[in-house]
Formats: sequence, C-alpha cells, structure tokens
Amino acid sequence: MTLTLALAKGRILDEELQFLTHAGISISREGLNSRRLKIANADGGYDFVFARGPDVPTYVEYGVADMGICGRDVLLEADADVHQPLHLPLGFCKLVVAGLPGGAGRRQSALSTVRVATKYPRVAESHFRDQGIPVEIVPLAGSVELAPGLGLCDCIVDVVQTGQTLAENGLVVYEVVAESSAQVIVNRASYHLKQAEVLRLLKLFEATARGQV
Amino acid sequence: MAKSYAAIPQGVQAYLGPEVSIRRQLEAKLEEVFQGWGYREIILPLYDYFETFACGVGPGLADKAYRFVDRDGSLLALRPDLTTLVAKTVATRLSHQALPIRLFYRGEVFRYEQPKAGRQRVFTQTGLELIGSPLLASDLEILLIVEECLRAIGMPSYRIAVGHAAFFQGICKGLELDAASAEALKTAVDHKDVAALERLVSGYRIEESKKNFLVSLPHLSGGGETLRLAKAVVRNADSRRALAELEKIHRIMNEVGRDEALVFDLSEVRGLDYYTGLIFKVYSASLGFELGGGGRYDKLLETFGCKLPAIGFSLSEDRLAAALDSTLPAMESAVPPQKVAISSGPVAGDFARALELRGRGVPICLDSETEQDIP
Repeated sequence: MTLTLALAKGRILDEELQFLTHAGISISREGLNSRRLKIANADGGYDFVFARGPDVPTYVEYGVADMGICGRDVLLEADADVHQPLHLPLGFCKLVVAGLPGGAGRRQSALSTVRVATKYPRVAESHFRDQGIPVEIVPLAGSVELAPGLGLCDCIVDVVQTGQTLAENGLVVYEVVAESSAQVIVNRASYHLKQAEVLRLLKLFEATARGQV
Repeated sequence: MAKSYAAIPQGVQAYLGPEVSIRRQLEAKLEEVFQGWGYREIILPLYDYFETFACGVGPGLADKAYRFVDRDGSLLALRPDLTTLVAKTVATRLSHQALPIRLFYRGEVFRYEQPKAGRQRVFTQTGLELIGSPLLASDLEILLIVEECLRAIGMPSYRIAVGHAAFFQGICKGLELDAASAEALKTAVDHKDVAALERLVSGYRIEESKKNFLVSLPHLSGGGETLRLAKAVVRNADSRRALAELEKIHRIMNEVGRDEALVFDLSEVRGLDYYTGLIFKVYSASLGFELGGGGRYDKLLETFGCKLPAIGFSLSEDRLAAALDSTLPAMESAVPPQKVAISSGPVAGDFARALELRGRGVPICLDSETEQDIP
C-alpha cells in the first residue's frame, strides 16, 4: 500500500528533502519545480503532499496523509491526536518569550495582564496561565518581531533559530518555552492499517537519522 | 444584535436524503446483529444528574457535558455517554434479573468540544453492554459481535486493535511509579514517542533489558508474535495474566476463522482509569479516526452500588457513515410514490381514489397543482 507523506513547506523543507535523499527517497526536480502540491514519487512508493507547516498535523490527524514531518513547535500548537514516534536531527529551533531589553514592557505591576503577540496562541496562553499570569493573546500571522517595538504588545512568543531576526528588531529572549526539532508523526488508523509500511519507513528514517547525527 | 434566522449553534446539524438513508440502513443492520446475539434494546433518558456522569465516565468526559440546573436546583447534564446510563440502570433497577444481562442502545450524545474528526457536538452512538459475566467467553462474544457488525455493514478493510488494561497497569505497578511519572510514561506510550520514553526510562533503576523492553513498547503491535515477544520479557503477575488472556483470545478467534482483522496493540493505554481488562479500538482504511471501541469495565457498576463485571462497545454512527460514504453503492431507492391529482372538479372522487391506493399499501403523493378552492 502506498504511503502518503505530508511535508512542511517553508524553511524546514530543504532540510526535509535533504534528509529524504539521504534515506534514498528522492522527489523528482520536475515535481518540486512544478508547484504542484501533491506528487507521486518516481518509485511509486510514496505520495507527497506539501502543506503549510501548521497544517501538517491536521492532514495527518484526519488521515489524508498517513505520515508527516513537521516541527515540534507546530505540533505543540496544533494539539493533534497523532502518534509521534520519531524525532529527526533537523529543523532545530526554540520557542521563546522575547521582548524589548529591560523586561516588563508596558506591564503596570507583577500581577497585571501580559499582552502577547504570537503565531502560537495555544502554546502562549497555556505557558502564561500555567504560571498564574493573566494573559491577553494578540494572534498574528507573521512579522511578530515588529510588535513589541510598535507598542502592540509587552512581549512575543515565537520561534528562533539563530536569534538574528530578534536582534535586528532590538529584542532579547526572556525565557525558553520549548526546544523544537523536526518530528515524524503518524495517523492512528494508518498505523494499524498500513503497519508494515509505516514501520519500514520509521526504521529507515531512524537509521538515516543515526547516520547523520 | 439580532442573529440571522439562518444562524445555528456550533456543533449541530440536520440530515436529509442519502445521509438519512445511510444512517437508517446502518441502524437496521446493526440492530439485526445485536438482536441476533440475544441483546434487547434499551432506550435511555436524554439527561441525568451531572454527578451520575462524573462518577461514571470520570472527570475527563464529564467535563465536556452540557450542564443545566433543574427547577429544584440540582445540577443536570445532557448525556455525554450512554454506557454510564446503562450501568446505572442495571445496577439500580435490574440487578435482580438473571445474569448476564445483554442490552443494546442507540442515541445521540452531547459533548462540548471543538467539532472535529468527523463529529459534531451532537453525535449518534450505537453499542451494547454485556453485564454480569467476568468470563473470557464474554470478551470473545463482544469481539465476535464487533466483527460481525463491520461485516454486516460492508465496511471495507478494517482492523480491530486489541490490548489489555492490566498489561500496562502491571508494568507501572512493577516500576513503583508515582502518579505523575506513571502519567508521563502513559503519555509517551500513547504518542508512541520513543525519544520521550528513552528519556524517562533512563531515570529508572531497572535492568538494561527491561529498559529496552519499555522503549520497544510503542511498537509492540501486530499479530500473535507481539504477545510472545512481550511474554519473554514481562515478569509481573498482572501483565502476564493480561498476555495469557490475549493469547487465548487470539487462539480461539483464529480457530473460528475471525482473526483476520485482529491486531494486538500492547501500547493501547487510553481509558485506563475506566477499563480493567480487554480494550479495543476499531479502525477502517477509509477514515483517519477510530470508528469506535470498547472493553471490559468491571468497576463501573460498583460506583452505582452493585458489584457486577461488565464489557461492551460503542460505534460512532456518524463515523461509520463517513467511512462507508465513498464505498457504498447508491441506495436502492424505495418505490417512487404514485401521483394522485386533485382535480378542480368534485374532489371527493380524487380523495376516494387516494384512499383506495393507500388501502392497498401503494405509496402515493397528492398532486394538488391544479387544486382550487374546494367548492
């Protein structure tokens, strides 16, 4: 049975493709250049769907893809009911709370509400509420680093790789919420219905990951 | 601001046409199977005290119940689950009857949750409970009925993933974990998160071989060899009893030729505060979510003051319908109704003709396009 894999587009895609090549799974150039969002592998072994990062857990949870590769940051935010059997040594980054140097921003007192701009509303909300800090989430779709400087929020919860974008916008990291790297996820029904194929691919990925580390 | 007349609350829907027809056909076929195995239908109330559900299904599901206050001030809840109501009814009203008691049910349940995975906030469950028998024969009966249900409705490629609550509970007991660590271990196994397991296990003071076994737990899933693999390592009495039961189930299902869809999944750890023995989930290739599941829950009736073992399962009608949707041939449509024109003349004759047809059981549809005021 053919497995369908969902891959996250964006910054992590090059690393994913490189990893797949190491694992001996190649996606044809034409396929990649064609801007099609679904391609069948040349070997016929796998189909690929290319999705926005945050959509990968959704595709896999609903079973339109049997497996997927996405960042742990995305998985934490999606709260999808999927198996998470394998971490891959790629897509390393951190989810952090960051803001202007000097901390408290516009907060009036230690007890007042923190206004947080983020692409990760679920993660951000539970991070603050778990500590008993009242929080107001400002959901943004991008350019989150601009928000504190513009006075839109007290701080942001966002993902950082090198920290360069933060620095360029005059922001510093207050605390790390979670470390993230790429994760292989599997649909719960596919795990049982295509078990041989799923386990074979997991084993291949694991061996490839070990060879790379 | 006044809401538009068209607005609906989140999570509700109406059905019409083929969606009704597929549901009614499913219901008829499943009912035939249930009755064929000697189960009687029980119709249950739409609501009960919130407390009933809180001690029945546990806080997780009860939290999702729609709650409201009765005129006398007591807290009520729309049923988020039907098993609890069956258990309560049997424990409090029927326990004097000859055991075991076999009951099936069908009905809407109500859960306050984000509509997803093919379910709205109101969805229909159908299932059965076998109460009063602790025997492995009853476990087998339930699995055979589930199998027959899936066959009867023509579900293409399906799997019944079977595990045992005591297997993982035995392991946790053997490791002497506190509640939080046991929960962390359970989550890691449930997610099949091998990396998290490795991290957790590295902190345990146990032999290396046992650590390796724990790390392999997520993928202890498959045919009979899964049980043999586990048996070679696991020493604690609870887990071994679980494995012995599963082996018997495997052997007998094999001997009666019903093991094709059976897979064993020792990493099945959901609902462990509820289930006490066999646990299973049903999957189909045409849907990404489980179609239903069940298991043995020997402690539930005790909460209602009657110590009786029980086992049962439920299937989500909405998910069965969704899974069959793409594969089912067009429904054989009923005989099209015969048109009976109501003329503009003396109409009594037309109605008499309609009654005559109805008397013979012919489906009709009055066609009053030409109708004018009846003189």
